[in-house]
Amino acid sequence: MGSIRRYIVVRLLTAIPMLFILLTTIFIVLRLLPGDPISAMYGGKIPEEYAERLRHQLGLDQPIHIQYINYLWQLFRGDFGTSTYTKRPIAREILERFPATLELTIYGLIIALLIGIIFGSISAHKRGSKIDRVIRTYSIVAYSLFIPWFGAMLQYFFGVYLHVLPVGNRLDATISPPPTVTGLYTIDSLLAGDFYAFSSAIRHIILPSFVLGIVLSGIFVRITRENMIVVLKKDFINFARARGIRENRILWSHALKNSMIPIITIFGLQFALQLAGAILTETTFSWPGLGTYLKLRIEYRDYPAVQGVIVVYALLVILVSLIVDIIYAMIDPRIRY
Amino acid sequence: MMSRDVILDIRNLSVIYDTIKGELRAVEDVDLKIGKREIVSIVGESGSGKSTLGYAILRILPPNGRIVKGEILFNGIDLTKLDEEKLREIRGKRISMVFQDPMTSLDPLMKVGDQLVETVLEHEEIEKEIAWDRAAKVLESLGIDPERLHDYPHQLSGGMRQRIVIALSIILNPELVIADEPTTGLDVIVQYQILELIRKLRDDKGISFIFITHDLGLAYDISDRIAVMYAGQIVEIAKKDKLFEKPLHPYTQGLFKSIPEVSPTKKELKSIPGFPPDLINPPSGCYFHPRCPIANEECKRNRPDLIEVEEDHFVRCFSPGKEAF
Amino acid sequence: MFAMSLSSYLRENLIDLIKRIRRPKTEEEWFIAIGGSLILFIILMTIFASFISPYDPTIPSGGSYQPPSWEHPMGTDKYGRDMLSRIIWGGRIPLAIGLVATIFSFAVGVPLGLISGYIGGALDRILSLVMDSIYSFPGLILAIALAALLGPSIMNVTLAIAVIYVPTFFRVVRGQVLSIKEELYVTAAIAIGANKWTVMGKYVFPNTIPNIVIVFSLSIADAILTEAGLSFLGLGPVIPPTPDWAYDLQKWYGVAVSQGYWWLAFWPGFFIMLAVLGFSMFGEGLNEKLNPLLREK
Repeated sequence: MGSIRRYIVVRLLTAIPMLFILLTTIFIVLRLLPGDPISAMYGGKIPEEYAERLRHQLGLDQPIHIQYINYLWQLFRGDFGTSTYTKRPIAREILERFPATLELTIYGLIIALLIGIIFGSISAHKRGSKIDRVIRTYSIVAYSLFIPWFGAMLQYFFGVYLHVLPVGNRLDATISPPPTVTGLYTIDSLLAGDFYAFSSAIRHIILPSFVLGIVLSGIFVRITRENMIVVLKKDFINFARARGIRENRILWSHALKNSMIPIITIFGLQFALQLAGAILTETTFSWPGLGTYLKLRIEYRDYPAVQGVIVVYALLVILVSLIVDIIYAMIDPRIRY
Repeated sequence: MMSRDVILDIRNLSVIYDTIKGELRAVEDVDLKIGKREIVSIVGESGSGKSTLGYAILRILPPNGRIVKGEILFNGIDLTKLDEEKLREIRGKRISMVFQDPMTSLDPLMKVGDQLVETVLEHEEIEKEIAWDRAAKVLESLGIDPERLHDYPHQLSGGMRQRIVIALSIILNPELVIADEPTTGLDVIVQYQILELIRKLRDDKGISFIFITHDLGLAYDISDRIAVMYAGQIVEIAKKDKLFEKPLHPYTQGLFKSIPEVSPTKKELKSIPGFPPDLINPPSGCYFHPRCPIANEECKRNRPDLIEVEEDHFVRCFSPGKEAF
Repeated sequence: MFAMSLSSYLRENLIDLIKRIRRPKTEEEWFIAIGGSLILFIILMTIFASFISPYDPTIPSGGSYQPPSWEHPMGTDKYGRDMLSRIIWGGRIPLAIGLVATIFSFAVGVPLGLISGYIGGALDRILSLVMDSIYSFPGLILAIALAALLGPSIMNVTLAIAVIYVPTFFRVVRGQVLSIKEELYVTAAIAIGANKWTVMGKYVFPNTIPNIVIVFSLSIADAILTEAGLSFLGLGPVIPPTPDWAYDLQKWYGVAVSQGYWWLAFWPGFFIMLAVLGFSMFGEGLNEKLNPLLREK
């Protein structure tokens, strides 16, 4: 039986070909599909010579295999190209906005996981009862919500009607961000002892993370419930009961732990969904993260920037799937190479 | 019943499962007494209700199962009337159960030692180290190296796992252990060892056993008395020698006749014709009558009671002792 | 061949199903009933839009930014167009795109899944790898990439969304095929000489139908959300003044929030949710009914 260290190493190695496949797929999608990206972005209303110049600038007039090699080479050097809009290196622009997305996603996930695990467990335990019915309905309604709509409604209610919460951005305009340690305003402001910044950051993140959290929780409730039901039927659960172990302990110590594995796996698979949700949440709340960046650059026809963001998203997906697999292996002693 | 100390007295017990198709009568009108230091086997086919009986005693029936009638007296206390808290105190500590499949009885994510300690700590307020010691001692008494406490279930063989399961069931020194097919799926040598273990536990620690099995041979090997179950009812119960010598119920006779023999003359493999009855809509009268060669009109109309036909030999039949198979 | 088995299967099971749905008892049946009703409601509303709609949705019929009133139960937008009419007409594009995209995914994913699962080998491995890569990639982002690349037109958006769900159909069908393949009756059929295609058509395929229906419904739900997401990000196929729920939401939610014209944002988004909810509930209910988690002993 191998050790966990060996598992991590092997898993990292398998991630590399996956990375290649994904990057190549993005390349194919973005470059090879029929349709000239330049004219597509400009809706065909662009003088040909200007288009030619743009194409040359972006290196789109070179042979495909050269483009591909350039593409990979640049990525490895961390060069994501230069924005046609701001003329700044895209890698830097992405790095500037990444912490915002991270912060929103973290808080959203915490809410989603808490709701998901607690409701899902209760629902599985009390299967068939009224509360199960209510929770299941909640879960379907939650993931049917259209994020911009849900967000807009909450913005109106809390932001305008009740006027208790802000409707956009990360901080009040009058407050300057705390010195960067993690990039997460809520944490950094605490570390800096800046109470005004902290309270402002919290007030700004409540609504967006709540919106993201609720919508994501729909899926988590369902997955937790399904897995808990399967686990609760297992023999060792009944055997624990036969040994006189408290129901509470059975639920949280035995059932939940055993459910966590498939839950974590699905969480990893659903990460893609969470990214999509984050994009919509950001644009609704003018949250200055990667999602808003993406939207704006699409509007500005900043083709290299759009490509850069998509590549970053792909990288994130691979990274998360890697981390999930490793956590999975740490929890389940049966998984080893 | 002889005047030994009766520790478990089941009277008139009936258990029903609520299914989509209707109420399933899993256990019906069961009377059973278990004495101190006694090993009683319950023999029957799958679906005969024997496992359900075990779950009912400990009140760990699945959510759609319920006791509709009867009493389960454990040292005078009626288990059917106890609340969950009191039942918890009894489970694992005074009555415990060993499940059929050792592969799935243990939490795969928890070390074996932790599961033993957990069992102890749920019932007694002692220090963790002392509990750990107790766990080590129990393993030793079962012939297992205490180092195994640090292992996860998947690192152990089937036989080892079943021994751990048994360890879990006796660590608090119960008076009664319900063993549900504890040797099924294990190889013959391990089977033998487990049986030895059970005998030793009864002899040294005075634990009574309810041994549930489908194997008559095993039942004979291990038990003092054998109860035969069919369609949720006990159809015959007697001391093992009596039962083997002279089975009185047609079903029991059929069981004996269908045990394959190793003999020079090749005989056809006999089995009892027909299928076990539908317990949602059971047959009228005696549940066995559709398959019984000697069934008569009375068997089709009336339900026979469990009657003491000979000394300490009970049968549920209108024509007990008549040769059916 | 497929059509034959499909229709006989439908005949057998559908009638039984409909009977149960008329009187929902279990919660799954409630989900199917409510989901189905919502779907029916939305579809009917969309089909009979020209009959139901009180005004022409593209032409001003009232004052600008009017709150809900008797003449305009859902108020008017900036150009004085009646919101109720825009809502009634606004479902055509999301539904059409959702439906067509899902049909397309179905048409590509199911046969590929059947073949890949049944034949196995290298073909199966390659296809599975490709499908997994697409599947694990964020759907919305893929759609964004495709829509941005191909240019936002109805055809392209439909195509972009369709690509996202091909792996879903593929996986479900392939999984089913793999498990059914091992079943005894398939081996029996082959043993008596039925050829591969007959086996697939007569035995394997009908058993995959229930799950296909479920995935179909859930995919439409998701497709509507994705299309709405694309519209919201400005990559939608809609050219004003065509009414479209997501387009309206995107256009007006800013003013709705800041100026309090809540009816402009509430109703479009609400109907998006109703449509998605309908298909989701239907799919979930069907799923719980056909693949129950708890099978009694």
